[in-house]
Amino acid sequence: MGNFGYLLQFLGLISSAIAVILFGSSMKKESETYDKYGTLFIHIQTILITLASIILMYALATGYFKIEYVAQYTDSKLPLIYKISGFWAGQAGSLLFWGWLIAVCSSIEAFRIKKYGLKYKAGVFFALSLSSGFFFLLTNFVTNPFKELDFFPADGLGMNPLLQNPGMLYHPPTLYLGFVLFTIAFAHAFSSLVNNDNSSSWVVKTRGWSILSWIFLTIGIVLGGQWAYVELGWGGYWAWDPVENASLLPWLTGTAFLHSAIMYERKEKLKIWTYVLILLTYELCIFGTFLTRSGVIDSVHSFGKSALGPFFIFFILITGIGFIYFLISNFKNMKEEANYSVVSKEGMFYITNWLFTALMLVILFGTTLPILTQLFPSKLSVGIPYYNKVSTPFFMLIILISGLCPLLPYGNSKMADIIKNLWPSFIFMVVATTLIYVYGYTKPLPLVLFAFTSFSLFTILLQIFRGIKRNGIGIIYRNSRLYGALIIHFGLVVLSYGVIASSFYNVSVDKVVAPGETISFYKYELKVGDLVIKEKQNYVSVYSPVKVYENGKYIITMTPERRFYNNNKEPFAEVSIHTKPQGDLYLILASYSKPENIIGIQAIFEPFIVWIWIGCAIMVLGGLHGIFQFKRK
Amino acid sequence: MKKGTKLAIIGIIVIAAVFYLISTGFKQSGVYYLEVHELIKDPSKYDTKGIRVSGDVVDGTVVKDTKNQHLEFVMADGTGEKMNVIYNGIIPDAFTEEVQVIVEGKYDKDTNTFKATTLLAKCPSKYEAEVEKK
Repeated sequence: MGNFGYLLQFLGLISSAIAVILFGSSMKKESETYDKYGTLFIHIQTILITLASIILMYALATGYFKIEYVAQYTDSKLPLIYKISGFWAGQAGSLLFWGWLIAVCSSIEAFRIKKYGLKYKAGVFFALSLSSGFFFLLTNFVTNPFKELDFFPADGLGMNPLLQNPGMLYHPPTLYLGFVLFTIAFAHAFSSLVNNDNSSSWVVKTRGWSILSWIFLTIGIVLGGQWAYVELGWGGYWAWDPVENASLLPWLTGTAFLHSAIMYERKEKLKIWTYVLILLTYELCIFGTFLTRSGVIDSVHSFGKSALGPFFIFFILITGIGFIYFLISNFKNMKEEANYSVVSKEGMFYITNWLFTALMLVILFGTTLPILTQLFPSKLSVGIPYYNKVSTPFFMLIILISGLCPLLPYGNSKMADIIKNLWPSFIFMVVATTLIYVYGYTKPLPLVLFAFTSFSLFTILLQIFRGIKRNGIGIIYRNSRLYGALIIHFGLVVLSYGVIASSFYNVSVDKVVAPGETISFYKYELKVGDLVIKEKQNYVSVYSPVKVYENGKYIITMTPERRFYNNNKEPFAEVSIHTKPQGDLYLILASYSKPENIIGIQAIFEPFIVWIWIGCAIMVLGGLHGIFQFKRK
Repeated sequence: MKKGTKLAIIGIIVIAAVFYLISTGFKQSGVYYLEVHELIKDPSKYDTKGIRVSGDVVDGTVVKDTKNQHLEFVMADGTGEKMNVIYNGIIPDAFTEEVQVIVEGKYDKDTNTFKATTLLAKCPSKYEAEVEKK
């Protein structure tokens, strides 16, 4: 079975190579024949790799442990759904998964842009096939998911218990989808450069794809944060871990790209910025994979060390240099006059580009510091305080502008008009901040952050209401782009409140008690019950039922738990979380001892954390709303 | 001032801010990232900043008191240099003998002991396991 899968994947690589050659030639001298066969080979590639993927999933699902990859990531007792998710749990499989996604997207794109010019198509599919081919090259020759062992193990090693979480089912696929879909916008950008066509047409053609990639990336990152939040030892929803940063970097440039593309499309401005941003986004997606796969950086989430590093670096250099070469040759077409004022929409978009890029740079610097300083006598690294410090000012300004920008007109505007529009928000900001202060939340930094966020919140809401008042509720559909954007910004503000509150005002307690005793914590009384031991499909569960009372009233029984998985000697903690709008109660079974009759509980109160997930959901809805453009009457 | 110049100034300000933040942020919270032998050889060299040390847990040296959340073990690196590590706090799930660990904290030269404030356990076989013939 492994050899058959390998054969399919090898033929898949050949197909993408043929597509690269055919479209590459058609790029120079357009040819209908090349285009026809190139497209055919793209579809053949997709079919072959789809079949290969099905074989791998089948091997995983049925426990065909002769394939090394299957034996590494699954065992016979693993629940079926996690067996299948083994497809993207490991190095080799996830690279095949990635390549497969690009292939599928290429095929969809081949149908979608069938009628476009031959030369334009050639550029797009050249870049797409090159990308998918790169991943198949890796899975064929460097890390082969179909490699067979020369014996048939009785059972596999099983999946790491930390990965046996619903997060495993949603997080990697959405994140990868986000990465992959940006490839399409990149391919179009590349093609427009090769064809010296710097009109807004490529931006318009890929608008839906770009927003969709952004949506998936956003979901992927937040789901990852959610997963890290419930899994003990991953440092909460965001710990500035290199692997987390690796997914944030392309999100930052991708977000800037979406903004910049609006200017490109509407005002024929910030063109070079837009090209550079899509290039950065594409390369950072690849770079993120490199960071997590090469083993150059220590992270709690990373894959093992591997020989993949040089291949990624090589690929990034080749594609980067190629793109920049064509970009420079297009410079003369893109000269533009900076004839707008700073306090205008154009000005704000320009500043936005800078802010996102700057944020990306400071995070990139911190993340790659251990690599950069490897050459020096002592290797250096930075931790969470560095990231918090350097990113806060930029986040603050981004949030402020996210409220301000939609309010400003294009071109030049009178300062007096702007002030007239803004003063209600100022008043709201002052009132809200004072109230928070009076209620005892007096730490200065969160107070400032809160003020900025409140300013934006009110500005955004005011704009939505003013718009509806002037044009009726239908305006939300008629002008879905503007209102989609406003909804996204609103989601961002909601998310910010969650981040601010949970970062600065969480409280925790750590106590060892005998069963039956009560722990007083925050506004809760926690009555710790005796240990319960239960056998499950592939683990044994030990938990303590904790009765939670708030102000003397019984609320819920929570079950912080430890699981002993069959394949692991050590227990894994399964935290228990009780979510409410004002905050989560988070319980960990930190320790226990049957002979000594003790139970150790760590309790944490994370204020407003649920608003982070809600904010994200709002952003995603806003994005979806913005994709669909309703025809204006 | 011309509008183009104004816009260029914004770029310059942002770049300056990036440099400023990186350098101050780094000065205040940059840490040395070392292996055990580097630290033992010349501990005074790394007094100025925090230290982060990576190495392996030596088999049979782990003293674990889950009740009081106290942990002691010996940590070694590829060169065979060793130091004692003491850690108080919740012990990560992934911590076992024969794992790779990263500790942050303070080193005491006289007793060759590292007091760790954070302990990260990284199992080399965590997501990449070698299948061995049994």
